[in-house]
Amino acid sequence: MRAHTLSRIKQLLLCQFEETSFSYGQGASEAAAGATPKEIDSDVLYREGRTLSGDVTYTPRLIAVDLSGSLNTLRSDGVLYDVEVEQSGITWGGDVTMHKASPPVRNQFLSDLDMSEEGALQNPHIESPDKDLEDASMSSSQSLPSIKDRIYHLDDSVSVWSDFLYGHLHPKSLNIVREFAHQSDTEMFELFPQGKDLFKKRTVSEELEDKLHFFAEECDHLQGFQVLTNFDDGFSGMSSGLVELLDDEYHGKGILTWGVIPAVPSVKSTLMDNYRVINSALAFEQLSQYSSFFVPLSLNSSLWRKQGPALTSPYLSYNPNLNYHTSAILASCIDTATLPFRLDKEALTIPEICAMLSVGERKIGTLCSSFPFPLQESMSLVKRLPAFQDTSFLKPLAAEVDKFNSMSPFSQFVVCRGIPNIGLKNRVPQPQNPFDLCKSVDEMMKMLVSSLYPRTVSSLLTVNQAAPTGTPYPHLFSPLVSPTGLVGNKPRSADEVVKSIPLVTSLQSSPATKNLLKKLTSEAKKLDLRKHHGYFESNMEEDEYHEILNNLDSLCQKYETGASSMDDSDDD
Amino acid sequence: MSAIKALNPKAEIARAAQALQININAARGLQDVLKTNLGPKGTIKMLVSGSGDIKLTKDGNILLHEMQIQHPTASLIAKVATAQDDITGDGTTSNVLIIGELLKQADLYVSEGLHPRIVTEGFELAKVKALETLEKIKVTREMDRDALISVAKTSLRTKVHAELADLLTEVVVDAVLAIHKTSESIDLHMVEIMQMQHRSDTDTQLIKGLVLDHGARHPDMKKHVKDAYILTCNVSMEYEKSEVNAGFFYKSAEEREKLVAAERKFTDEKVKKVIELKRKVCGDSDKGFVVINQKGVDPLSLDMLAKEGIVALRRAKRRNMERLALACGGHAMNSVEDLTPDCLGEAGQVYEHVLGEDKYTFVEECKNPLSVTILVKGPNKHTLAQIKDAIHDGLRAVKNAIDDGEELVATYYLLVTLWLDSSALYQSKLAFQMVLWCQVPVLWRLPSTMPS
Repeated sequence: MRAHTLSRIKQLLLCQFEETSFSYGQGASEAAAGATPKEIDSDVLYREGRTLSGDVTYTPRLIAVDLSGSLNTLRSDGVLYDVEVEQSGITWGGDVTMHKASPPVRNQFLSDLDMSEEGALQNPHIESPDKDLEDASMSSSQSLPSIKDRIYHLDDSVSVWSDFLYGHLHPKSLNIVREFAHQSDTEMFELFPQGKDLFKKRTVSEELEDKLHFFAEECDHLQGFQVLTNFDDGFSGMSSGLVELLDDEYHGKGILTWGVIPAVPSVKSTLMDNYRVINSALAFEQLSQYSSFFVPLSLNSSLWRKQGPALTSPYLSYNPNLNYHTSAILASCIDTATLPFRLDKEALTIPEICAMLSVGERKIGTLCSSFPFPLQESMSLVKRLPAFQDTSFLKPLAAEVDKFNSMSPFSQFVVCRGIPNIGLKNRVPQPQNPFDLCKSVDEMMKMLVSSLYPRTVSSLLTVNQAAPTGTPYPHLFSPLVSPTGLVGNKPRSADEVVKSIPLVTSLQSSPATKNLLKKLTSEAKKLDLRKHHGYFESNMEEDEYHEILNNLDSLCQKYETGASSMDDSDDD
Repeated sequence: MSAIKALNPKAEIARAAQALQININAARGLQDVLKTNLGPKGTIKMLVSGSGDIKLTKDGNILLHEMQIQHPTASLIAKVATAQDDITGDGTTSNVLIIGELLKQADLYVSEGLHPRIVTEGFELAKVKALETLEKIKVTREMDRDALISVAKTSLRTKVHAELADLLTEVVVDAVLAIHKTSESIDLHMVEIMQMQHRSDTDTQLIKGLVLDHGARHPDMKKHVKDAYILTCNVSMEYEKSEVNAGFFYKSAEEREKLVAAERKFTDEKVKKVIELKRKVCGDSDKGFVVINQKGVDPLSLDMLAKEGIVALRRAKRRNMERLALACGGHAMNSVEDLTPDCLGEAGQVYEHVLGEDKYTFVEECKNPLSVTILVKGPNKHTLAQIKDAIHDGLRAVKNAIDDGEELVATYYLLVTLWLDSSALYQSKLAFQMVLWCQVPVLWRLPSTMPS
């Protein structure tokens, strides 16, 4: 039964920050399309289409919502489906005046991409995925260096997500909100109810419904939706509305919601901090209620009013102020964590995974990852793995849960990708530790996970293909990381970049979430909604707010474990 | 002031006369931008964004939205236009122009030393006077088709070129008349606007029925059905895994197979119920049967339906479910348990049209459609958008005319009357724009005479 079903997933993205993440994800999937042997089924996230002139297109099943003015060089209806029209289409008796904005500056990466595409247009195979793409890129790489091989330093020239978008989007993918402008001072999209009202607006909701319908209707076996959204600004309200609609309209399908937030807020003021707390509280309640599983992500160890330091790792040197960097890290981790339902063979479905993780109505989860998975270049896996004595190599990508990371999660799904089987062939005559007996990376990782998490229901998936970090990925690894993502002894040379990394992620439902929720509710309770009149202007009532906080409290109770409740009494 | 600085260090501070000047300048700035757009002879603006997105418009409200307004006063004025658009759908440019002109005149008086307070009082008085005049000159009459056509024409002629405007006028009026039920207020959402990037703008037409932007997903299903029964339902015909983790319930592979089969059977039963109904109502006649489902229909179910000659459309939009019931009759079913022939709608023709990767299904020739579709055609995206905006305004104008049952007699006549009312000067009916320009000092003269 399984083998015949071609499962489809739709992705929905809201807002700037996550879209940034998406651009990478897309690059990753595209790389996957050309990989041999084919492990990952990119048809899960992509669709094959046909333009009016009969060309085949391959675009992601994606709806992205962003504010007006945030596209920069990208056209809202894309270039794939352009038709040549002879007449200008203007038939007006009176005068016609043209107001043309000066074209934005395209950064080096985008202009090279345009060049390579013009060249590729002469190659008839380029549009089709899988094998053809591989051939095409091979043939073009003979003449000029492929764009994937060039090195760019885009840190200064990237301001919005489309500045490093690799592929093309379907014209129905982008949805621009005209009511609010990107980086505007007068019309800021910063309140939860603003987003909710916007979603209820007929023009906006109908446009979204049309687009949603377009992508959903053609799916034979729709398995679910992934929603990526900010949870600290107006998009929190919008995504809550959307997730509620999805739950109603597509009941029984999985809705996996990723909530993200910039590691460092762009504007820092008391008022904005308060908004962030209130928005987050409202979003957590709504998103966890209607999603199958909700995973808040952040690279910051402490959110809301007192910002903590951003995630650190000896193998990373990134700038937490740049969304270009932070979203790259999140994107790679999400890409890896979602591999189980994108596999070519024996893939699980979103509802299955969500059901597995959200046992006991614990629908808020945590994503932990080791980015990258620290492996010495010279040391064999057998020798390296026993060194992992505790789970500290898996760092949570969420706020407020760090010090509770030692608690064993209720259930988890571990994905290991691209772990090379160094030294696996050299059989040790006398096994010194259980890892020596393992015959594959998969077995080894299973053993490692079960020894580290003895009390957790764990599932594990191993994929050979490493996480791609090639162009246009930012250069955020420390010099010690080799081009294949292993930890070397000497720094890599300046003209080399890290092309791919081994990555381990664990999507889990963990008692640590309780701390996150506690912190959030206690901060939210300190704030008086009456002092933030913006919320009342958008028809929100104070009672509603208190009810939502109470719901969060009871959600918190579900994460109670025997051991931790003892700690609580001490705290109180 | 320091408090404001503390709140927003970037804030610019202006006081009294200076502040007033800034506000007035904003209004006049907007007026300058929009004044060329007014009326059926105004210029049309083509906006091309840096990345190449094209917008073609003459509508004040749309223009204001395309501009990224940073000035607080200007954005307040833009909100006036939005409110006007929400209620009447037309007159947005005029609004902005009147505001600009009023402030311009006010500026004159303020600079002469009149207190702004008196000016605002004058505005209030003028408003009262204007409303009185409106009451006086309005004509109450039966809104027949001809009257509505002239109303719609006034609105549309200022939006698109004359040939298209005349075509749209008929389309818009017929659409509203079709969905108009005496005694109930008109719900314009029952007019669906569907776009097709195809041929030219004058191919836009009114479909007395519904156009859905999807088609049947099975190669064997007919592309054209005549005399069809329409079943609208909201029933999942997809094989769904039970939500509980099924792993607990079986011990062996055979048991698992059995469980899967049992679950599949559950879906099949629902499909069989539909087939049963089809056999019952169609019998041996060559009548067609179309299922339009709001939920999904998976390939196996599609197969079963196709074998029976049933055309099935899946994942219909929620808003179309209500429209379908209004267009074809019958009512939407939430379960297959109580299917009766009464719940079926009827349509004379159901056919599919494929355009690139987009499929359209036309449900036409309905007996008494209370929901209709305007099919907008045009060679490119911006033409489609322009026509769509124009239709919105036209529909609104026709609806308001029917709702009030009162005309209007062309806004421009009103302005002339207003002007005559307050001034001894007489001027013959000038071009529309001229009248408007006169009207503003008139509106102004009203208040200024009264308080002093």
